[in-house]
Amino acid sequence: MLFLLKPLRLATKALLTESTPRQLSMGFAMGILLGLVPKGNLLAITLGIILASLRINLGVAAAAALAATFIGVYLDPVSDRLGTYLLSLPSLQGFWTQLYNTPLMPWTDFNNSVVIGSFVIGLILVYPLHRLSHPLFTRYSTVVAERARRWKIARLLLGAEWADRIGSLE
Amino acid sequence: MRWTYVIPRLLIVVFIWAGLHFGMDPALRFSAIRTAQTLTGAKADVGELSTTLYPPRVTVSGVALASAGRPGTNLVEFETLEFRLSGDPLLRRQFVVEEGVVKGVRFGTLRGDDGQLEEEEEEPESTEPSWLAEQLKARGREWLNGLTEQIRSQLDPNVLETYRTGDEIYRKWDGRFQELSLEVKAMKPRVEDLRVRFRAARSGNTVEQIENYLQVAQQADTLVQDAQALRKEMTDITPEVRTDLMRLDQARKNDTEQIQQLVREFRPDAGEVAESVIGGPMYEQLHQLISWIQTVRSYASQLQQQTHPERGRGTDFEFPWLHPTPDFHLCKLTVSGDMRMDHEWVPFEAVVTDVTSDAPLLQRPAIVRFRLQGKKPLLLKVTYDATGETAITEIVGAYREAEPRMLNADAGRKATISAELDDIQWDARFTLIDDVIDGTVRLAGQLEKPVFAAQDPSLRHELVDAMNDVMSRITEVSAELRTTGPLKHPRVELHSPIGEEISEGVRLAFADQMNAAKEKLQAQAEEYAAEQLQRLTGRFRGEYERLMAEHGDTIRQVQEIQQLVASLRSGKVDAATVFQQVSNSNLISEKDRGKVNKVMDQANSFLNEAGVPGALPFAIPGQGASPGLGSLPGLSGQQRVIPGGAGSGSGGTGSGSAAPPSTGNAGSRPLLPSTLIPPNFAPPLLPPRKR
Repeated sequence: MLFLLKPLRLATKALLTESTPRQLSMGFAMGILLGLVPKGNLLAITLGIILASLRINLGVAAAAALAATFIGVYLDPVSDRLGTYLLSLPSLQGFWTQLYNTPLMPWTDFNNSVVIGSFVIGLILVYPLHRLSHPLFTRYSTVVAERARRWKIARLLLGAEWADRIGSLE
Repeated sequence: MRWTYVIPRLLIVVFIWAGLHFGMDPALRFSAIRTAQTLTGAKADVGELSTTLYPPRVTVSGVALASAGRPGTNLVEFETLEFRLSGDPLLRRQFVVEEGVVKGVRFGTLRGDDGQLEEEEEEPESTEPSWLAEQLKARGREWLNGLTEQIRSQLDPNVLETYRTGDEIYRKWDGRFQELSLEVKAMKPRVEDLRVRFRAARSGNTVEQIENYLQVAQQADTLVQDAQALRKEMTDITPEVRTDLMRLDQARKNDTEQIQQLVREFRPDAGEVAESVIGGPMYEQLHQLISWIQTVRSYASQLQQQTHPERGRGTDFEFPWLHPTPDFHLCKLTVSGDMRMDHEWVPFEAVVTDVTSDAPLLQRPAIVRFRLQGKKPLLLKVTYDATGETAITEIVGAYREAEPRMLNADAGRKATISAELDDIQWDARFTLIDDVIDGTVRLAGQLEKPVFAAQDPSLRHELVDAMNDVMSRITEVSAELRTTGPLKHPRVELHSPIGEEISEGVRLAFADQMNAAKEKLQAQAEEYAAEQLQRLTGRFRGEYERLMAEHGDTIRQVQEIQQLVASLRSGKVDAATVFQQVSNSNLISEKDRGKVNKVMDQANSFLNEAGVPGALPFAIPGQGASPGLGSLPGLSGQQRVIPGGAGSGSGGTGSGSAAPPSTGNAGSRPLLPSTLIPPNFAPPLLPPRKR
């Protein structure tokens, strides 16, 4: 039983206790990027894997991705226009063709105007969102962490760790 | 080691792997079910769907697609479907099935439920009636009806010219003789009236008698003219009758020639015969084939729509492939299973090759080879060539029926043709371009137990015998059905030697029957003509002779009166001569003859002894003042003597000629002045009168 709970405790701890403002803001920006890109293609999966492999706060990233998914539907017209412009740009045709003939790339749906447009918009917004959110996370991250510790489930998981420490000391 | 860093990421990887491993198959299964239901319009059951990424392989088992048109029945079901995808095209999002196998395919199996979706129902396709078979039956019925009517009309006696002419001639002469008889009969009262007037002419004094006799003479003249005209008319009958009899003979010759021509030309339409006999099964096969084609095309169009997913968010840009290949290519798919034929499951095999979404890119047509085993082996090859601008479908099939098939040609209420067609072999070859079909269906078989049965009692047995004779000689049947035009209503043409064989056989066989029937009918016609001739001749001769006899007596009587009156007109006969003529004629009876003779004797005595009284000339009308005798025209100082007495008969009229009495008697004087005699009075020549 304790063996199964330990990964959960470690994940909770990582989410709630050991996140710096920088990690939080980067997680937020990357989450927005992931949320804007339409799902069901290799690009979204790849972004998810990249996001998971970075030293960023995954909790904030997941929350931001969820929120951006709903917001992204309303940005589809903008994404479509941007994607159409990029995909039809004559100077990029060779690049797109080369990319299209690369294995696995067709699975990313990069040739879809909304996908590529959303991805580009997300990329553009990564740094600004990070810079804009960093002060906010700096100011409110400790407050949020403190409140999160009060959640029963967090206390349950964290308390279990303390019990384990106690047990190991004895 | 920063487990806080690794563990969450590891969890994510595990979740992704778990999603792919445990979630992709159900997702694919759900997608397959949805696609199949959209395609068929009915429920689709998929038991299991498993995939392997390397090598890429998909296995589907327990699939049953319900039939939308037949609740409770599966359209198709199969046990397993396994296909292997090519890896390299898969990286480029192209599905190339290198090889696929479908096992345990069955069509039309039963389901546990009705298999119907609860979605909005599509309007069912109207089941097109077998318009071809219906059309065929109508044409076959017309052939036999037309044949029997033609034969019936040809063998109808009323059609023969002999009958018609003979009947016409008889009626004509029947009327003519009746008219002549009436005219002759009408003469008799006039003769009798003349006779009565002649007798009555004796009343009154001599002058009145003479006047009466003149009137009688005038009537007699008219009567004789009428009698002569009637006689001429009767005489002129003979050439006309001869002409009519020649017409009758000519009619008989014409009938003979017509019969011969009819036998030469009589021949039912070979096309209609073929359609009547063999067209039914041919058209049914064609109709079934067209129905299959339409069904497959319907499913293919729906499948094509399904392979193009719904338009999602955004626009997909297609970039050129450096090594272009179709997005979907089924290299080879082997299908095996059972098909229900005649209430039993018959195994079949099929191989499908080169089915692709981009045939012009692949440059290879899709081919389906189908083999059905069992009692009715079937080989079918369908080639779908979409490499060009227009898709061309070629269908080549060979099918064999081991069990005999009954042929029934219904000709309405007239007759039926039935036979067994055994060892049947079908060959079909069609080309389908868009909605236009062009091809042929060929049939070959053995014809056995042919029977032509008459349903209508009025159908002549000669025809029935001829048809059965013809049908018994036909052992092999072959037919070809050519089809062109729109798929829904193609134009069809049936060609079969059986039509020609039956048609020619009917002509030859029926010629004998027809000859016999026509000879019989011709004999009847000739007998009828001979009978008519005999009747006409007999009637003509009898009537003619009777009329001539009656007419002759009448004419003779009238001529005698004329002769007597002519004697008076000539003024050169005296009363004695007249009286002698009258006495010698048959116009008066024996009793009257005695009186006449007595008067004549008295007159002679008076004239010879006393001479003519002086006042006599003044009693003659029209003579004005009493002139002397010498002033009366025609009256000379001639003295006449009435020859003979009663029964002497030796008078001027002994010769019976119409010549006026002798004028050579010296001293005799005419009884009447010539001016009292009508100037146009001319007595005819009378035949010698027999005593």
